[in-house]
Amino acid sequence: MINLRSYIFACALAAAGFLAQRNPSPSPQPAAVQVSHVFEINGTVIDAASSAPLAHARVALEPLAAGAAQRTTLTADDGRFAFNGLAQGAYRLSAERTGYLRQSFEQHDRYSTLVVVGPDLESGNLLFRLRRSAAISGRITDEQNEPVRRANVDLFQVAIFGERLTPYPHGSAITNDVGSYHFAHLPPGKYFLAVHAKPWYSTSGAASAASVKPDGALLDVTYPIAFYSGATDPAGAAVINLAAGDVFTADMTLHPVPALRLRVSLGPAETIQRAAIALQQSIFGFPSQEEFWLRRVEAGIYEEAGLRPGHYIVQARSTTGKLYLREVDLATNSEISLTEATPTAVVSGLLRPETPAVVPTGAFVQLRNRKSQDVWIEQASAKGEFEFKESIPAGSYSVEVHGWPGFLFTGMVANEAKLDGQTFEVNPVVTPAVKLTLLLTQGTGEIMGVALRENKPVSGVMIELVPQDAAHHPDLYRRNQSNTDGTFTLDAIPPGRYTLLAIQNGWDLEWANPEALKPYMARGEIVQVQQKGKYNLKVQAQ
Amino acid sequence: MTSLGCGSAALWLLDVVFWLQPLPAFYMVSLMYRKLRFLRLVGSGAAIGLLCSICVVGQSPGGQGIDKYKVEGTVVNSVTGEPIPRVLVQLFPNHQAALTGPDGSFHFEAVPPPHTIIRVRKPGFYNDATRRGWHRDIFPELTVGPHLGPVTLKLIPEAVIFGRVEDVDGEPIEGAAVRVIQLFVTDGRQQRNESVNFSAEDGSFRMAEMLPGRYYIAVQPNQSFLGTLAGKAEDVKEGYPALVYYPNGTDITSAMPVDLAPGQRMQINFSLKPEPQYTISGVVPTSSRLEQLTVEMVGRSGERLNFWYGFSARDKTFTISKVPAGKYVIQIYAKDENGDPLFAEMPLTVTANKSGLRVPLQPESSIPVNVSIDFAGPGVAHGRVDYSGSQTATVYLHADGPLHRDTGAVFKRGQDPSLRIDNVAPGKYFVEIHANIGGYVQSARCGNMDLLREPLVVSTGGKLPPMEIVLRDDVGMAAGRVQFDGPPRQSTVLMAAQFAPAQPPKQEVTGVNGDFQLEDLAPGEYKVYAFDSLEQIEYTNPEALSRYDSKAARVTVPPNGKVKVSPELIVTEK
Repeated sequence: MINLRSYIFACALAAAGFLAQRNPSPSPQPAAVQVSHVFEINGTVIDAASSAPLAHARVALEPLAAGAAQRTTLTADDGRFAFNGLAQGAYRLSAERTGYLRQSFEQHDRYSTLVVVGPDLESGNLLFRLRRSAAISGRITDEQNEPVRRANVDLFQVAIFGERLTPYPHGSAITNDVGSYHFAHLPPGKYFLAVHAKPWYSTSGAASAASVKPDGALLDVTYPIAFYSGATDPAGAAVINLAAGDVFTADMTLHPVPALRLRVSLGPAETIQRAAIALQQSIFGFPSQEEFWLRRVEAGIYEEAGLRPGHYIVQARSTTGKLYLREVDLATNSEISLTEATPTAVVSGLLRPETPAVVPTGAFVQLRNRKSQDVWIEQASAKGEFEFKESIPAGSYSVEVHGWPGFLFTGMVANEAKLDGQTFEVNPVVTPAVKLTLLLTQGTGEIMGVALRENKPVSGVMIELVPQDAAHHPDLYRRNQSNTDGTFTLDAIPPGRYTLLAIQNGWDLEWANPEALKPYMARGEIVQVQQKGKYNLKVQAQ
Repeated sequence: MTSLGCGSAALWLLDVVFWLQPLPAFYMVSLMYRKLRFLRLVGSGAAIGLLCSICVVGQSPGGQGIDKYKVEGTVVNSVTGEPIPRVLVQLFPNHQAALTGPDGSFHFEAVPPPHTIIRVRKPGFYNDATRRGWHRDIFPELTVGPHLGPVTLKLIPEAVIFGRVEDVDGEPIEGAAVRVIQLFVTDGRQQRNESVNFSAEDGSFRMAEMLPGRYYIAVQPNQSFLGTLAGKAEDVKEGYPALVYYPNGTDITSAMPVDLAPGQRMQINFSLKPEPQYTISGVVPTSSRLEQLTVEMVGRSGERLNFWYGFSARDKTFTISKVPAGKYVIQIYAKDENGDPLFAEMPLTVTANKSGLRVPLQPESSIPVNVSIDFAGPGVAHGRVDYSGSQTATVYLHADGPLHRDTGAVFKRGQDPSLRIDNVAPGKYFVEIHANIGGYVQSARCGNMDLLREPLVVSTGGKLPPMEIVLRDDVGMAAGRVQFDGPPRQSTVLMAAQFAPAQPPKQEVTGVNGDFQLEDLAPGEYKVYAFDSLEQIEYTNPEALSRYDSKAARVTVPPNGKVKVSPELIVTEK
């Protein structure tokens, strides 16, 4: 399961990236297409910091109209570009240049401003501000100033994850033969670095403790997880503030500490496959990619050597399906006993669309433990039934439904389990079998609108739809960005009461934090979204 | 001081020790060799030569006492002779470990006799066994005793290739795949090993941990070299070549090999010039509903090249974009509505846009295999042996050339239609057959093709008759002693059946005195070769083997009989 969790997390990030490319909603197309008119988009690509024009930047224009081809051009020496002969409609404009981030026009987060051309619309003299990319590189050395090869360097970017700013994984790198690593193409922001590695000369695990001779005892060492600029505790990690174009050097020296052993004894009747008993650490609350698989010493006894001090989750799944789960703070060689199986519950349920429908192959339900970030995934049958093969330990779990295009998961009911929005509690002692009914709708609403400032359309504004019960329904937030003609679209909105906001320069807000949004709510537009309702609204930018 | 390493002096020294103490040392070497053979890492007498060369022993009286002794020495760089600090030295099976000091020295007390395996390692260095291509740690054994003096252990420094990929204007090219290719012989066949690194944003790349040897370097730029925007765009008509072999070759035959010496730091730079790119389009005529269609463009040396391609399932048309001029083979893989694999292949020379290609998909061949057991031995005759459930034969299909993949399967006895080799692409294959239950392959035919003598030719869309394999047990045996001068040494004897030139020769490693015995031989005429090392011998190729015919012995193995033969040792290693 730990493997799965890591994998799923990676998939989730990849999916987020994918969505980031796809999600920004198209601007509403004008109803009447004037085929006899052609239009032009032109402008200048400039350095976002210095405003200097950028020659030889590649600019791409992608029509949102289906089937239309993307076009590209290079900017001239004065940074100018132009696309002419365009049909009326909306276009996504992107640019890139060596040393700069590849960006969409006025890109914020995963949103950008679409350029809309048509009669009486201004699409010339655009200023495309290209931000320089930043980079972090460095060298990892050991206590003797020799390079550490194959050290894992994890980069965390501070960004909104869920409701608040928090470090989340941005990427990882492996050091080369001279101990160097490099992260390129970084957007400006705040970052943390964590390094985990094992001394190449460590003899940990080469033999059981009893057979390691005094000559080798000093070599039974490991490196603690190290955070830039040298802390071994995340609280001591230094923030790396990157501005556009920054090239930051973050060298680190690793210092070995005595490696530890953990011996785990299990109930006498239980048999564990080697691949089913593991230790894992977390970095900033995210599971480390590094896992330690325990080896069997004798019947019911498992051991791992070469461990670094720290907090671990020990997890074992017996061949009879019992789960043994325990958290351990390792400071010395330790022994723990897992004689008491962790209570677990069987979680099953049904996908229930508003109107009966055949569930497609590939639809699946995902549970995520909100504390450990462990993820379980189960396919749904054509009838929408699902049952998690592994029983689920106690905790709070968020539910997601994927793989059913056009259907939106809106809520659930459960037998006896405590519910909170799209989260439910598993308490196996009280409810050993949880049955969920997951409600899905096709009847989502859509809001099209125009953001105005002093009664004129304004582009690049953050458009946000805030659900009435935001604290319990963080999944119902919707965001987008206004286009050059001020238009925007928000879609896939479940029925309910919302507040529509247009916030200029609001891209640094903790947009899912009700407290941060409080100052803007009074001037927002209240909208009651009905099933399959479509709305045209004007909203004043704040 | 006793020098450890790969030199002939060490070899000689070890050979002397073998005579002094033949049993434990040979036992160990034999054990290690069997393990290696099992792993199919090597199959040559060179293995034994190497093991000998790294087994260095002190002047031990026998080590039967209970006293413990010191083991000490120095680890040095094999190229510079300089001591290497902070090398991990480990003794097994006693699990003692230490790092060498600043002067490269190490020292262990209280090491129990009679033997210890000594293992040394440090990032950036290799031991001699690894240098020889085993990629596996084989370590010297010391005879521990009162007379064991200081030993010198050599580590070979790694080589490093580094450089930059840029365009003709000096602009870095990011994301280019830099491929380092090594051609070598394993199990008597030419093999190709490849490792890949990608250029960074400044165009730089670096590949360390390279063993000394001959390499070919190629760069394969990402087709979206100006970024993803350019990669997708319709109006970008130029791009970098699909693949460039250093310094400016289009395939491996026009590449300049790079010979890396131990410890060498070699800089390789590529300067790529944009050239016109073309669009290739065509149709895959089939009435089947196609699933999972993949279009691959393969370079002349078998390289899989990445191009943008699109496929319309409705009208079965495909388009491959941004293809530079060159010679390619289009390969299309698909599955029909039943999930059965389809395949198409077409050579293509691109000099301009091409449209209207017709690339018909055909089912991949499936070759039924029937294994007959024509055994007459006493066990079979009296009904004491039942092979009905046994895996009787293993069949490998070795593709001739880099365009197609090797395949194979293990077969039981009988004519069960499920016993077949599936998904065989059109092409020529060398068929290697092993009898798994003793005996020999008396015949192997596929229609008119005699697979003991000629390769299997699979034509496009052609249906092949069953492969008929007959195993017999009237086996012969050959035994003898390899003739050689100098100290005792092991070698590898090859027996190449003249009636089955398409089958790899039978082989056996001799004892240190050259004795060997080969069993389960098919009756008939053989050429018998004895090699000191098979490391670079492409012995499955009769033409390559024929270069050594002047030193081969010729024998005829009778059915159920034994023949004696004493081939002359062929020395290939300097």
